[in-house]
Amino acid sequence: MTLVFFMLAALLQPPPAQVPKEPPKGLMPNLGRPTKPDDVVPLLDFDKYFLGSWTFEGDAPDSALGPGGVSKGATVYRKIGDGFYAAVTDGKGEGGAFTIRETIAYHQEQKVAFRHVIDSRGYAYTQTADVGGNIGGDYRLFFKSAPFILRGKLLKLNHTIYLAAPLTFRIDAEVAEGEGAFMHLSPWRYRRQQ
Amino acid sequence: MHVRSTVVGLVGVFILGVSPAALARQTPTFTRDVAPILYRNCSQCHRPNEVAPMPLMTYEQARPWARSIKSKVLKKEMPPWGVGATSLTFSNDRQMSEMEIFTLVAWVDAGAPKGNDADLPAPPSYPGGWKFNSEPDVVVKMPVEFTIEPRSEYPMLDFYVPIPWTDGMKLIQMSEARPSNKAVVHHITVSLVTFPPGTEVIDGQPFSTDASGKRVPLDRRTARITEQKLPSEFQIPREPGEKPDRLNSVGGFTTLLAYVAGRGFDDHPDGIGTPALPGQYLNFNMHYTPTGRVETDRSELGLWFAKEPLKKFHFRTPINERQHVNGKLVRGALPDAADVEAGRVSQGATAATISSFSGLPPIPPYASDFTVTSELAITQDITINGFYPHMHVRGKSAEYKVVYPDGRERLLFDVPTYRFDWQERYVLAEALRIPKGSLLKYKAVFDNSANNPLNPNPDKEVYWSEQSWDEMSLGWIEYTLDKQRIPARAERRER
Repeated sequence: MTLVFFMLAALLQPPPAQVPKEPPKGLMPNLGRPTKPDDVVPLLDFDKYFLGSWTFEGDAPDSALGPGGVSKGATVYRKIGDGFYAAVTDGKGEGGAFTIRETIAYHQEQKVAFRHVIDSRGYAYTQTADVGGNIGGDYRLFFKSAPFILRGKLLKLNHTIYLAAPLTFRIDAEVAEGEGAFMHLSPWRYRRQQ
Repeated sequence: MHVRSTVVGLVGVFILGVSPAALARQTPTFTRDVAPILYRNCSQCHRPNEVAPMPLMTYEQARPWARSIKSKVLKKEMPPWGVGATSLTFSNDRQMSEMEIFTLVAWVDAGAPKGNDADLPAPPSYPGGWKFNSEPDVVVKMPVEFTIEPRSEYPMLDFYVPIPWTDGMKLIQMSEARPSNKAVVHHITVSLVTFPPGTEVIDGQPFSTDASGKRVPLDRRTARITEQKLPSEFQIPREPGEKPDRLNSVGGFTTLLAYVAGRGFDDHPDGIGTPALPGQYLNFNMHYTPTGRVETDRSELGLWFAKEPLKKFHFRTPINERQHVNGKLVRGALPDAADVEAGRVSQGATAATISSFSGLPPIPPYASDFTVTSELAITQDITINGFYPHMHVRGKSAEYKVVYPDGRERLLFDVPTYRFDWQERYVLAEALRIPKGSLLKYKAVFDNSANNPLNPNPDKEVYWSEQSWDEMSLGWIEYTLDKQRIPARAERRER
């Protein structure tokens, strides 16, 4: 009975006022003038850029990680502590559904990031990244992985995250077997869910 | 749209029976059918150490990408080609034929088989990794390896290297610039310059001597560094009293080439090129974009000399004499009464709002169709060999037109979807004569909205500069002067 009451009350509530959505903003500082070589590049604001939901699409080649093909899905970034984040990716590729769980640490002043990634397709790895950018708001995270074993092979997996625009970023990946050369994997492109 | 037209085309291939019998009978294989297509259309970029991130020269390299290859060629995203509507034909048109697309798709759908090794043709030759089919006559490296530190931005940097030969004037017909680190090089522009007597160049930087005998950096603004010291028969033809203008100035033929994403090699028809003399310097104008970590680069330049006698200089100039923004005149020598009366002169185009770089007002935040139209009056007969539209990440589309002296307007071509990451130089298969009295028009549209996936800062005004987060609106043409006639060697000796 109480439940029914609350449900009815909820239905009778007036609709919430439309909150005007703030238009997307970039990471470039508001100088009000053209940039100069001695301008100071602001530190990357991870919260401002990443937090929230993103969709992605990638088209990878067959590689040591497994069969390639088109993958699509969504990633949600949330804050779990000061300088700590979690990201969960639910995707579907030609090999079926998969989930990627990440724990991320970002030290803004030191311009470094770390992440531990567990992929439901049977592998996990730890990465460290230098984080840099320029005055145009073009930031990059250069993640390099520690070696890990997948199906008996020693692999290294690097990711470079390019923060191209407030609504889009791109991850370039490359994988190497043992001491072999890195093989480029086609980028995953992300778009913010509005 | 592209996919649909291709599918319709492929269905047509079957219905009309134009598919070669060989393809109808047997599954395409890499060695026999696919490799020739990749060699012909893709190898220029998809080979080791080239701009494409993955080589596609061998079966082992191409097989993992089979599904991507199918997807990209069906959507016509690869090979990249920007021209939409056009009344011209281009010698470097990279579009694949329907039959080539059909073959690639059929190969992928059949499981991407390798085939017999004996069927594999010889791969194309790229001696030394250069794009042309021979080693350059001369290779020139930047004088120093430059370190790009993590910082806000770099101004344009100039490095000078003396012409490395002493046996007289050479005519450069082809050239290619190669960065050693593509991640940081936004552009390389290479031109020929001449320094004043007494200039000393140390580690690529020019110095002069002041009144006290002290070595000081050369003031490049006062030095006439673009002046050529050409033999008289090579001087640019001008009528008595005619002054250098946009079309026939020395600066028009002293630029060798520009490297940007998607280009960096120029070749010209036989007899057309750039004269270079001992005593001149090659100016590497470098634009580095910091990545946030320490990087280094030492770019290099390959030069191929003309085997045929030079007939004409290769000129280039942007169409930017008179410019309108969203229909309002903002720049040009002729803000005439009719423009003022008709309200075509922008009221906002004051000194306070116009960028000193180009005279254009900034692009407002979130503007999605900021349109700059530019004109160039053709003051003498010219023949156009190529075009090169240049914008940065807000570039959306481009269009070239000509208005002939009789008032007829002709669309030359448009680029409906401009790509900053693939800036094409469009080379004409048949040169285009433009008579004196014509007007060339170039239209560039910019998208500063958040819907532009490459736009880093839709909330900011966009200024005009060479930095990639600012914008440029340059519709280049490459041409020769019809009245230039360089005498043949024997004729020159008789003089």
